[in-house]
Formats: sequence, structure tokens, C-alpha cells
Amino acid sequence: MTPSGISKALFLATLTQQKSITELEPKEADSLLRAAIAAHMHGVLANTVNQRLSLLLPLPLSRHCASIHTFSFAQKNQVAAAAKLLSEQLSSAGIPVLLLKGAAYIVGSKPNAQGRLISDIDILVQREALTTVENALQKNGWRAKPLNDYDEKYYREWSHELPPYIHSESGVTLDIHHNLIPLSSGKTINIAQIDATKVWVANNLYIPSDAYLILHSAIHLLLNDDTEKGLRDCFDLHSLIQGYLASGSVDSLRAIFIEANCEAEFSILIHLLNRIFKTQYSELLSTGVQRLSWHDRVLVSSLYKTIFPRTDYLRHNKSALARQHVYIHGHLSKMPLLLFIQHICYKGYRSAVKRLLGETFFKSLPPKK
Amino acid sequence: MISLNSGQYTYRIRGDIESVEEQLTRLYPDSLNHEFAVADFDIEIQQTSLLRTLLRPQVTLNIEGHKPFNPIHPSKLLPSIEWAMNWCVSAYDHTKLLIHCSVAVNNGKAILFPGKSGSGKSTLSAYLGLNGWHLYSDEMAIINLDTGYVEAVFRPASLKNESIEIIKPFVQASEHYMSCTTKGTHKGDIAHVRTMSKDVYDTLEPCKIAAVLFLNFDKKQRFNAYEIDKSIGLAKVISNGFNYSVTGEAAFSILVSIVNQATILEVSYSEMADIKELIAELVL
Amino acid sequence: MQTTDTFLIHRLADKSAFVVFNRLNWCTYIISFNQVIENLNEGIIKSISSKDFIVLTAKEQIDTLFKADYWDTFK
Repeated sequence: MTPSGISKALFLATLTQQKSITELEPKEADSLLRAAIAAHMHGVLANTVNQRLSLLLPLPLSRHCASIHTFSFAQKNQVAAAAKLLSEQLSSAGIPVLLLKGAAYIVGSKPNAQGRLISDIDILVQREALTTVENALQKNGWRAKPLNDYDEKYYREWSHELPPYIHSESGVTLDIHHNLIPLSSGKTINIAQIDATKVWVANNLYIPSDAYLILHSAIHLLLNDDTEKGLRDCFDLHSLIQGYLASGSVDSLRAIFIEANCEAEFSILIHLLNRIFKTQYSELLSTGVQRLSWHDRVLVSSLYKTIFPRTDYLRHNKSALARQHVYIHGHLSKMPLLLFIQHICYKGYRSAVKRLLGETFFKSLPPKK
Repeated sequence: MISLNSGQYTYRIRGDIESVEEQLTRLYPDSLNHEFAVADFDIEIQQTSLLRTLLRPQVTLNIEGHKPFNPIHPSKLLPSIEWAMNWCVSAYDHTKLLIHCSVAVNNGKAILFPGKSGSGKSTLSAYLGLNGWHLYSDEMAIINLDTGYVEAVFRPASLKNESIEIIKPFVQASEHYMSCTTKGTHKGDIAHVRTMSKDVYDTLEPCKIAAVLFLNFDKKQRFNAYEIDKSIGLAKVISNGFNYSVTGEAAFSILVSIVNQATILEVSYSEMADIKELIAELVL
Repeated sequence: MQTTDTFLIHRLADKSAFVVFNRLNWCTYIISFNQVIENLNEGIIKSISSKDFIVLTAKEQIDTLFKADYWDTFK
């Protein structure tokens, strides 16, 4: 028996607090909970439930929300402690620790920090300093995660980050970026400017300015082939942009995108956020944002479909075509066509094998010596 | 679809469960199919791939929209569902302190048996559950963070390999049931044993922890039990915690209080009968 | 139990150890009582002798160690 699920509209309305979770029928509340967990949005859901409201909810819901609050609080402490330790470990090598994404939101106490659940810590370092960074990390108990040869080459030659590092004691995973987007993408992110405008948090610990936090999150959302956390990225962006516009202008924000050769992405982003958060972007659309090309309108539509999780608890169009469109767009943005075809053939081979023989076929291969 | 009520937690299990439905019905009498509008946890059994289905079938357990485990052969479904049910609790419930151990209760007092596989804790606690004790839980202690009391779940014990034959003779009364054995899982052969009826479970109250026993099953050892320093006991309990680092201050305070008041022993044994007398004394 | 902004500190009932929870970094420390006595005997804590320390109550012992900045090691 397949559950009836809730509509995307109702899902969004409760997450954006236009509708209270207490107004939902029990079966709807159940679908909401399941869809939220599937979408990595249960932290946001828990934020809509305070202690008083919690008493009105069915036990499974109030228990999940209370657990998420506890987990989120614990994670905040853990991230702060891990970031502090990392900043001390890299300080002796003369490397400032510039946090990105989730860790930056939490450590920088951004408006979307509450309930923001993360799985690893991201940092940005200068490309020239990579070897120094890797040496300092290895001296302090960090080990690179073993990868197959192809993925390792992809990371080091084509991508904008090193393979992940894991701390042997705490198990914390560290992603080391030297750019916000692959070198082969044709986009130009001004890393020097990110460094110059970085915001000090404590000792050797920094986060990017709000404008660059927004740029990075937007790039991650729009130019990534994996939209599993797409809805969460949209909520991050909405929160950061609203915070930014409280004191900054849309022109200065757009300028950052233009400098990165991402003006089209800025328009796509605002149109996408408008579909989700509606009235809060209508003024912006009428004044500060370009009209979209036909292709970009289709892209916004595809993105809107794919940022929702595939779950029986959410009634929506599980369009394979939309996902394909986003995947191709994501990759073409990041690599020249020839590389893309080579990458796609390899990935396609792996994908075909996975479809025939199952997901773990490659995981079960013995590691190469 | 199955709606499973384990007392503490409710599970919705969807997908192709036909092959294990009969076993689940016998392991969870009077606790299936009272459908609930809101479940604690959702588990869906999904097929993986086209060719696999023809050549070598595989299923995946999709838990709340995510797949934390590798796919399995459908013959391993029963123990996999049991493991998934445990995983849900340790992944999502942080309103309680969860410790990796089995919990046996008598006379309103609980004994915790923390420890690794091979210590004999599951065999012993299944034996106790079938012989006058109440098996509150086979896999994890569910501890109230305010009171330090341990709470019961309506879940069967899980037995491995030789333990299955050791325990079989004790599965006699009408409220007992031993499932079929699933052979060749990554933990060996597995069987599940229900030690009480749902009616009895419904009478169980949260209880105080009287003792914590670290077991060492060794055929060559004579029976030996000694009290260990509470500092070592605390360290060992924390190292068996599922969510100690998440529950923070509250967990620290309640564990100190539990360790202060409970008797903490290390016990080496080769016969279950040797231990029975000792633990009976601990709950007087 | 002693509570400050930084620490929760107990002495276990069998006096085998002091246990400390650091509320800032969420680390848990277990310091054996013998270790503390050794520190007293070595003169690391100068304010009191081990002989006088042993007869104090748990609260008095923890307070004495606060005054000697002993708990700062676990910050």
C-alpha cells in the first residue's frame, strides 16, 4: 500500500511556517515528517516547533523534533570544537582556516544555523598552499580517505577540492577546497577577493563574507549534478539573501555574481527562490533581475522538480527527464564538452553496471595496490 | 505493509514483506496491523536492479528516504529488518540515553550487560528472559535522562550460531517463540526469540538499574566475579554508548548517578547456571 | 556535584576518581583519585598535603582543587 503523501505546496507551506504543523491531519503530519527527513530538512521542520507546540503533536513527531534539537545543539558544539582545533593545527603552518558552507553558517551564527545539520567540514585554502596544508593535516592525525584511481584523479586534476580527509580519532570528515568551482568550468571565482573580505571569527578561524557565502551556495545548488540536498540549499540561500538585503543592495550582490561570470545563474537563482518563497521575491524580480531565456526557464522548472526528494510521502512528478536535464547542465557548466563526454562514458559505464549488477558492485572490488 | 508496535516505538514497514510476514506475526503477536496515523519510523523494502532480480536477487532497506546499508539477499530479510529497527532508534532518538547492552529485570530491578559480541550477553539475557526474568531489551538500554530508569521494548532477543541450540530447549511456554534460523548472514546464523506475551509486556514499568555486569564468556575459565572501580565502570559504559556524545550534559550527570548507585562487576564464566545465582542476589 | 559555566565535576561514590564534563568542548574526563594524590605528593599542588586532602569531603576536595587551578588542565 503506497501512502497518499502530501503535496509539494503543503510541504513548503509548513516548512516556511505559512501553515502550522498543528493544523495538519495526523496522516499529513506523518507524510510531512517522512518527506522532511528524506529531504534533509528535518532540522528546519524542528525549528517550526517550540516546546509549547510540541505538546500538541503526536508523540512520534514531538520526539523527532526534540531529538533533532538535541542533535543540532550537540553538533553546534562539536563543530565549534573541531573548527577551533583545526585552526590551531594549521596555525603553526601559517595557514588561516576559512570555513565554508554548513560549518561556516554554524560557527558564524548565521540565521540558517539553527537546525542546520552537516556531515562534514569544508575549508578553502590557496592552491599554492595545498601541499603545506596536507602535510600539516597528516602530522595532526588526519588521513586521506582511500579512493579508486579514477576518482582520485578527478579530484586532483579536474575538481576544485582534494579527496576528503578524515580525523583518525574524532572521525570528523574534512573537505579541502582550493576553488569554489572546477578550473575547467570557465567561471572565474576571485579567490583572492574572498580571502581579502573574509570575516574573522576567532584566533585563526574565518568565514567568507555574506555575499560570498551566497555565491558559493548558489554555485553548489545550480552547477552541481547532485540535487539531493537542493531544497536545503534553497532554504540556506533564502535565509542568507534575506539577511543580506536587510542591509545590502541587490546590485552589490549581483555584482559578486557578475564578477564570477555567473550573472545568468543569479537570475536563475532568484526565479527559483521565487517559485518556492513566492511573495518575498516578486519585487526583486520586477526591478533587479533579468528576464530568463527559454532554456533557463526550462532549467528553473527542472530544478524546481528535482530539489524535492523522491519519496512516496511527497506527491510530485518524479520526472526522469528533469533530473537528466539538471545533471547535464550541472556537468556542462563544470567541464568542457570533450572532458564531459569522456566523464559521461565512464560514469555511464559504471551506472549501467550498477543498474544491472547493483549499487555495491564497485564497492566490493578489492582496493588496488 | 505492516504496522509494528514495539511499545516504545512504532514502525511502518512497506514493500515486499510477504516472505517474512508470518514470522513477524509470530514474533510480535497483538502488536501488528493496528495501523497508526503517525509512525516513529518508516522502513521500505525496495528491489535494487533489473538483472539482479533475475540472476541474484537483492533488496535494499530504504529507511526514512535513505539507504544506510548495503543491499541484501531476500533470504536475509528477517534479521535485516530487526537490525534496521535497532538502527532507527540509535540514529533518531536522542530523547533517551542509549547504551549498547542487553537488559534483564527481576523484582523491579534491572541488570545491564554491556559488551561486544562473543561476551555471551545475548545468550544469557535470552536465557534469563525465558526463565522468570523480564528481558527489557536485547540490544540497547533505553535510559530516561531525568530518572536514570531503564525502559522496556517489545522486541525479541537475537541469537547467533551455537547460542541458538543452547537456548532452544528453554523455548517451551506458550508465550515463547523461536523464529526460523537465517543462515549465512555477515554475523553468522541468526534466530530470534520472543520471551514474553504482549500482555506481560504491557505491565512492565521503567526500573532502577541495580547492577552493570561486564561479561567474559570463556569455556576454560572457572567462574569468577569481582567488583571493579566505578571509574572504570563509567568509562566502559560510556564506550558502549550509542548517543552519549549527542546527549551531552544530561547523559553525563545521569550516568554518574547510575554508576554511583549500581553494583559494577566483571564476570568470567563458562556455565550460565553459575551466573544465575549471582545475579539473583543482585536484585534482592 | 559542582557546576560552573565551564565544568560539571563529581567525585565518584567509591572515591576511585573525579569525573569532569567540559561544557564548552563536551569532553568527558576521568581523573583517578590516585593520580591526584600523586600530584599532591609531587608538590604539583602546593596548597595542601595529601594527608590533609584525603579526609576532606568531596565538595571540599573539588573546591580545593579549584583554588589550586587544577581543573584548568581540562579546559
